[in-house]
Amino acid sequence: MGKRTPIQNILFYTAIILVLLFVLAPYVWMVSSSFKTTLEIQGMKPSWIPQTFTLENYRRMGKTVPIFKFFLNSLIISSGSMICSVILSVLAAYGISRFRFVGKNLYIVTLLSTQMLPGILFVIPYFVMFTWIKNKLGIPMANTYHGMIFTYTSFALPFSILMLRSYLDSVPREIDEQALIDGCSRAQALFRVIIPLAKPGITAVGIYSFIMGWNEILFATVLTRTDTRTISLGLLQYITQNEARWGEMMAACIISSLPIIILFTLYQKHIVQGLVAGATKG
Amino acid sequence: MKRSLILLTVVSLLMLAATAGATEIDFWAMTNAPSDQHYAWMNEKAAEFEAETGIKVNFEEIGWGEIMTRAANAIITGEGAHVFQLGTTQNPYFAGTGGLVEIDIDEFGGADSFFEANLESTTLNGKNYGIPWFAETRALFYNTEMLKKAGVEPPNTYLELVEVGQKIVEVYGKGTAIATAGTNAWDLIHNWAIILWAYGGDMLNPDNTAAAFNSEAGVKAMNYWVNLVATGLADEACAEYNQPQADAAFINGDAAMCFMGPWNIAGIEADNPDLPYDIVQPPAGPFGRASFSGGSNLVIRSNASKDEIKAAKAWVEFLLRPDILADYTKNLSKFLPSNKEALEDPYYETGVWATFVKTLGYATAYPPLVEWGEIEGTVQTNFGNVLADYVDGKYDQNSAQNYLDTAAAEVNEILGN
Amino acid sequence: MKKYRSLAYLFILPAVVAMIFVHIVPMAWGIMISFRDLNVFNIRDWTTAPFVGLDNYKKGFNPVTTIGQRFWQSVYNNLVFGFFTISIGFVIAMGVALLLNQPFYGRTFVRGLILIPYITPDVVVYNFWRFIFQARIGIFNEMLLKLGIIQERVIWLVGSNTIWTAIIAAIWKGWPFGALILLAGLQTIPTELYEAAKIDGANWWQRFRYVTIPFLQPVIKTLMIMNILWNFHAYNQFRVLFGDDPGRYAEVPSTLIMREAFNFFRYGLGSALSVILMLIMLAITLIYLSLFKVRVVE
Repeated sequence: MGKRTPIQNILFYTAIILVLLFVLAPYVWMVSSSFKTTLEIQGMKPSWIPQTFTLENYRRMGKTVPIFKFFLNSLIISSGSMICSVILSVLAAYGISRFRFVGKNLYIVTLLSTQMLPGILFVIPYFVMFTWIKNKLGIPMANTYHGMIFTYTSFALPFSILMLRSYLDSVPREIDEQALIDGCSRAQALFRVIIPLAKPGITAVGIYSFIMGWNEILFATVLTRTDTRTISLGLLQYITQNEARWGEMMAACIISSLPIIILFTLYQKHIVQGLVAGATKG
Repeated sequence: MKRSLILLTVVSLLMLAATAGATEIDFWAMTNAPSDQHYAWMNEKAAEFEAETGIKVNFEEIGWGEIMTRAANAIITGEGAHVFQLGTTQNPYFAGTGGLVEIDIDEFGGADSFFEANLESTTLNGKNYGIPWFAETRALFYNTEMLKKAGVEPPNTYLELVEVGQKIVEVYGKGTAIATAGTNAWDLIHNWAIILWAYGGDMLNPDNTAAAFNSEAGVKAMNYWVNLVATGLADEACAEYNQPQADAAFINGDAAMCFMGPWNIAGIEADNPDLPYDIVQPPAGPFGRASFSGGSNLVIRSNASKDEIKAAKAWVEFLLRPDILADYTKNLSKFLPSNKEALEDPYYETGVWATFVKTLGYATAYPPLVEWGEIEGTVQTNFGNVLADYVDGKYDQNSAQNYLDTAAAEVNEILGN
Repeated sequence: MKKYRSLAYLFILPAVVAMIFVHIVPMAWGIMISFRDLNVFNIRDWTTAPFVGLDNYKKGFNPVTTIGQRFWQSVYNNLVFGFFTISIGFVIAMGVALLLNQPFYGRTFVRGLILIPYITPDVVVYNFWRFIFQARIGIFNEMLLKLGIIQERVIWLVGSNTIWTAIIAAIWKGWPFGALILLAGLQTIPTELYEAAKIDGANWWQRFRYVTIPFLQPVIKTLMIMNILWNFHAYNQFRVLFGDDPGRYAEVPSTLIMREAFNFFRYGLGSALSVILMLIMLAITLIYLSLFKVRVVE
């Protein structure tokens, strides 16, 4: 990889700029539209820069759709499923990574094959199951936070386990062995030694589950009502049979991207490491 | 210490008894008004109602897109609203599930106090399963300035509409004459139906056992809509619109005409108050004028307890009081009250409202059938296919007939023959 | 470490229990439902739904019935969607990965920026694409008109263009992940190999073909299998871009099944269609795994 000639340099940076334009242009459109008036948006001349700058969309987005309530719901549900899937996947991934046991391969294959199953396969049974649980056992499941956390945890779990397991595999076994020799129990070795070392992997898994919960709409359509409706579904309510509020929708889109963008900026390194580990060794 | 503990127990027991005595019901309505105003109004009325009757009402707003699922879930699980709003065309379906309370309409002022088409939509096999809440119908909105500049008067017939449109296009350019809704609109079928009726057609045969819409009138009506786009009167983009996007093109002043409802007036005031507009009744076909009768009813879930059903009925009665209903329709939903007495409010004789009231007088409703939702879906899908063919350049004079025949075959299957 | 074997079960137990309840049981339940005529009238107690044997499957499999025709069309659409989204997305990802593998000032920053589409929530992404693709008010047509690529506005959200609309949006959303993974793979290739190839007189293409590709092969295999699975779960793209009913050209199995089950309340039929879909996906995955000899277990 020698030095680039000046011409190669120009071509190279042009290519980089083109890639960035391709990536960023839609965001420019989103942000600029969120500051446009309805009149301008519905006009025939779409432009990159608002002709009259307005904050009206930000003021009204919460009135057209209770988007802040949905934001809170999503925060609760996504954080809940993040915590649950981190705990469960740390335990399971540690088990797979550090032990040989009967049925281990079968277990891994099962985990992988759940990735193959279309979500739609589960929606109808979930709906019927939640109805049945409520009718027979009296435990409300549909339209509850715990019901949604349960659902999302379960769907984030297989991939989380696989991702974390490949991360744990990269932590040398000698470290546990040393801890055991030093008199730690297995659990102590896990919590005191391995978990701190696996922090990047765990962060990646946590963020993966969080994003999954934030993104999901298939199950949320069927299993939530206004009390527990998630923000992703809320975003769809700006363009309906009786509204076409593009500007407000763009404003709400920006708001709903914020937590993810913030998480990403804070933990970029960990996310990248985790994703790479999950994909290259899973 | 001990005494205060006993006191506390007694007080809490008393409170428990008090709450046990009070009935609490959940109420769902669709997004009939901007969310914040809607909640404010409902909560205010619920408080009034509670002060009067001791019944607590919890209001929740539901999107039109999800009411079918939500209502079905409520009926299935017995969880959710005790009383809720249903669109007129959805009422028979849920009546058919056995999930709605049969209504004695005399308890709510008798059959004569409602518009016939709306009352009919609450029925299934001659029995009532809901109470009409408000009615909706559409009229032709037009941009007075654009028509004036083109030197034309608002059209009286569908043929005139095309002529007027051509004049406007000459002045303002392609696609400026009318804004229509496309594949993303549920209203597609309503817009088609009014022309179908004006040309003497019918949705189903007289005893509602077979499709009749693939008649000549149906084909003419469908071609009429496609031709509005094909001949350049409407913008090509109309093919992908939902109704609000078509409305927006009109409100923006980019299109001279649009079929809209009274609720759009609020939109005009909010987005473009300077728009010079007026309305006329829908144009006439060879068989006179026709309009679509839609609206919403209030229904009560049958797997609620006796007390809850009683409370739900009281709440419906409360909402239907002429002054309350008129307040709701005038200031919030901008629909027309279904109750004739509420419509006597002098407000409805003024301005554009008189036209809507007149139009409502001859509005036609769809047949009240359990299967209507599926029938509507079938017609909608096939109308969508016609538009898709047009966009792909595959549309010809046979397209409408072919797709309507396909739809008719499916509908006949749905109806069980 | 043999003596700790029983401990291993303890560690994986919670996850196993969770998975039995959330995957195995519902799946079995779904299969049971698919043999019944479960609808809104009898769902309150699903056991009362009449047993109809293979009727639901026959309806779904038979391309002559309305529903069967729609189902196979939707499977076909999904295949087309998957093929183009994955292959074009892969080419872009590879190109950008090669680009970013060059040293330059601000590389980490650029790598972070290109990941943004991948981490932006689905609904946000497809909502702004839906806005961008609006024929009259969208910026896409406007740009194409300005650049002189088209003379008249194109309708993107109705008709046979819809599938391409979905593909464009999905590629935009999906390629950064591929680029990231490929870049990570590229960085593991020792530079000496390139140097050696250069000395041997290999040109750019030969170095790419005989050094880069073989080295990246395992990464590419896993990337592909993930892409295949994700694109066959496609729902969000279509639901957000086109609504409940995406129309003939952009219908995918998930949107069709959702409508059948939750708009028309044919839960039994919907379950049967999902089972068929699962079998199709299983077949595709197995074919892929055996074709490319991907090792899933150690």
